[in-house]
Amino acid sequence: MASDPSLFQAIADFYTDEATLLDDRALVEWADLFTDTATYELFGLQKRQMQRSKKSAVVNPSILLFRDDKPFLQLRARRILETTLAHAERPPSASRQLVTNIRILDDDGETIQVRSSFVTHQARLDFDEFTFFGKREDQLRHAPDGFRIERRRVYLDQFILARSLTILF
Amino acid sequence: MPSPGTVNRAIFSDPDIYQVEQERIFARAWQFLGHVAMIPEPGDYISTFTGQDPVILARAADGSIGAFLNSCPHRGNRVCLFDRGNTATFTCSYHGWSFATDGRLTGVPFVQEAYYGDLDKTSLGLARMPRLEVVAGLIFGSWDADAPTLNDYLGDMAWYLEHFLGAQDYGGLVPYGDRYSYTLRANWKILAENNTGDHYHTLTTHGSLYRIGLRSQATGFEGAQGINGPFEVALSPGHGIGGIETGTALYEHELVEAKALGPAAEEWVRERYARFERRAEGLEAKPYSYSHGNVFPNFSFFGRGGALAGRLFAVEHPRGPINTDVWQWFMVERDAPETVKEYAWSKLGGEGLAASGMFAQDDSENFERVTESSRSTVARRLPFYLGMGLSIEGNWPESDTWDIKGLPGVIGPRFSEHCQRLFYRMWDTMMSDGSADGV
Repeated sequence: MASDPSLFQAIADFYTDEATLLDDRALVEWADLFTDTATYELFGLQKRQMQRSKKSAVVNPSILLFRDDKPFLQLRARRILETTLAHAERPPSASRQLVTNIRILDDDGETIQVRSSFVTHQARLDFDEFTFFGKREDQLRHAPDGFRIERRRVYLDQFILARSLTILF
Repeated sequence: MPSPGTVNRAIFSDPDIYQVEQERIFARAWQFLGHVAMIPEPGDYISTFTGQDPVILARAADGSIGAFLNSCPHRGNRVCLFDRGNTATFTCSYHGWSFATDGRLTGVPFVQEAYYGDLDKTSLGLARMPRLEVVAGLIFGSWDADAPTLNDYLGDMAWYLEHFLGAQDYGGLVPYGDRYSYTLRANWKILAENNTGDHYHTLTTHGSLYRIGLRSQATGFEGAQGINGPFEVALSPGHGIGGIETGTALYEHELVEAKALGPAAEEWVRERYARFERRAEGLEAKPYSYSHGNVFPNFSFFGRGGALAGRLFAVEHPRGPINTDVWQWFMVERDAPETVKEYAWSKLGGEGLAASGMFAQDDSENFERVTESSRSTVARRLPFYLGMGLSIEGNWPESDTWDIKGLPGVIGPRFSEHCQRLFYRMWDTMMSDGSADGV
C-alpha cells in the first residue's frame, strides 16, 4: 500500500529514536512517548484448537499477558531507575531493538495505524541472552514535535516467555 | 540431609539426582493437572505435564474426567498437539490411530489388511493415569496405582484448599484469560520451597515495589509479629501455606480499595464477606486470606487477599536440573462483578507474579542466581542454611496470643523456615526410601 513518503520517513525516524531510548534505558522519556490515556498490551501465543473442523487454523491465537496504562509504564521505569532494589535489572540488561517492515495502514488525519516488526536482543549477566521477535500494531497520534503512541499492541512470537520481562518493546 | 537445618546444595543441579527425582517424585506423587472449570464440557481437554511426561487431561463424552499419557501406544508420537480445545478424538499423525476422549483406541486404519483383524484394541488405549481425584475443584493425578488417597496425601492442606480455593460460596473458581508460561534457568525446588513458606524475602526481593508506593507497609511487616498474622503454616507431609491473616483488617482495607472501582465492587466485597462469615461461623480463628502456598512437589497458588486479588495457580515443571517452565493460570470467583475480575487480573499481570509482573522478575533473578551457585565444585560442598527458628519450632514466642485457635497445621510466624524444612524432609523421604506415600 503506497503512502505519503514524508509521513513514512517521519514514522520510521520516530521508531528509530524510540528504539534508542529503550536501548539507552531512557525509560522515563520512553514512557513520555505515550499519550496520557494510552494502553500498552503484550500478547504471547497459544496453541489452541479453535474449533472442530476439517481445516486447521494457520495462525496461532494470541493471548493477552498484560495491559498497562501510562502511569504503570512510568512505575515500571521508576522501579528500575529510582531504587537499587530492582534486582532483575541490577546490573542492568543490555538490549538492542531493530524495527523494520513498517507499514502505514491508515491515516485519518489525527490518528495513524501502523504495523511493524521488531527484533530485540537482551543480554543479562554472564549467561543469559535472549532474542525476542514480534509484531507491533500502533495507533499513533500526530503531536507538535512528531507523534505520540495512543495504543500499542505487541505480539511476541513466543509460546513460552523468556523468564520475566524486564524490558519492553 | 547433612545436618538439621541445612540442605545439600548439589540437589539443585546434579543431573543424576534430577533423574531420580523424575522416577521417585514425578512418576509417583500426586500432581496438579487442572481445575474442573478448565474443562467444563464433554470433549474439552487441556494438555500438561507431570515432570517431563506429557499428559492430556480430558472430559469424556459421558462427562467423566481422565488423564492420559500424551503418547501413542504404537510408536510414541504425541496425539495431542494443542494446549487446549474440544475434540471427539485424538488422532496420531504417524499411522492414524485414533483415541476417544476417554483414552480408548477406537480407530486403526487398515485393521484387517495390516493386522488381519488380530489387534487387541482394549489393551492399546492411551496409558491412563491410574489415580485421579478432585479436591476443591482441583484435579490431581498420580502415576502410582498404590498411592495413598489424595486426601491422605494432602493432609491438612485439603482444609486450606477448600477454605481458600473451593469458593463454593462465591460460585466456584473459573479461569480468567489463558494459561501462559515462562521459562527460567532455575531448579524447580527453589521456586517450590519459596512458595511453600518464604515470607522473609518479601521486603528485600520485592522492595522496589514498596519504595515506589505500589505496595504499602501495611501488609504485616512493620513491627512485631501481629496476632492476626501473617502466619506461615507447615502442613504434613510436605506442603505449606503462608501470608495467612485472620481478623478483619484486610477486609477493611479491601473496602477502601473497592471504592475506587465503583459501587458494584464495593457491594461485592461486603456481600462476599457476609458469605465468608456464614461459612466461618463454626471456626474460632477465621482466616480471611492467604498469599502463597505449595502442594508438594510443585503446585503453587497465590492470592494476596480475599476479595480483590483473584487466585493464581502455578506449576513449576522441571525441565532439567537447572531449568524450569512455570505455567500459570489466573482464576476468579464466578460471582464477582466484572470490574473486580478485571482489576484482580490486571494487578497480577502487571504488578504481580505473572510472567511480566514486577514481583516475578525479581524472584526469577534470585532463583537463577541461587541455582547457578549450586553448580561449581567448591560451592557445591557447602550446604544451604535453613536454620531459622529451628530451636523454637512449634514453640514460638507469644504464639499463645495469636488468633489461630482451631486452625490446622504447624502455624508459625511470618519469618520462619519451618515450612521449607518440611518440604525438604518430604523430598528426602520420597527420594530415599522408595515408599509410595512419602510419609
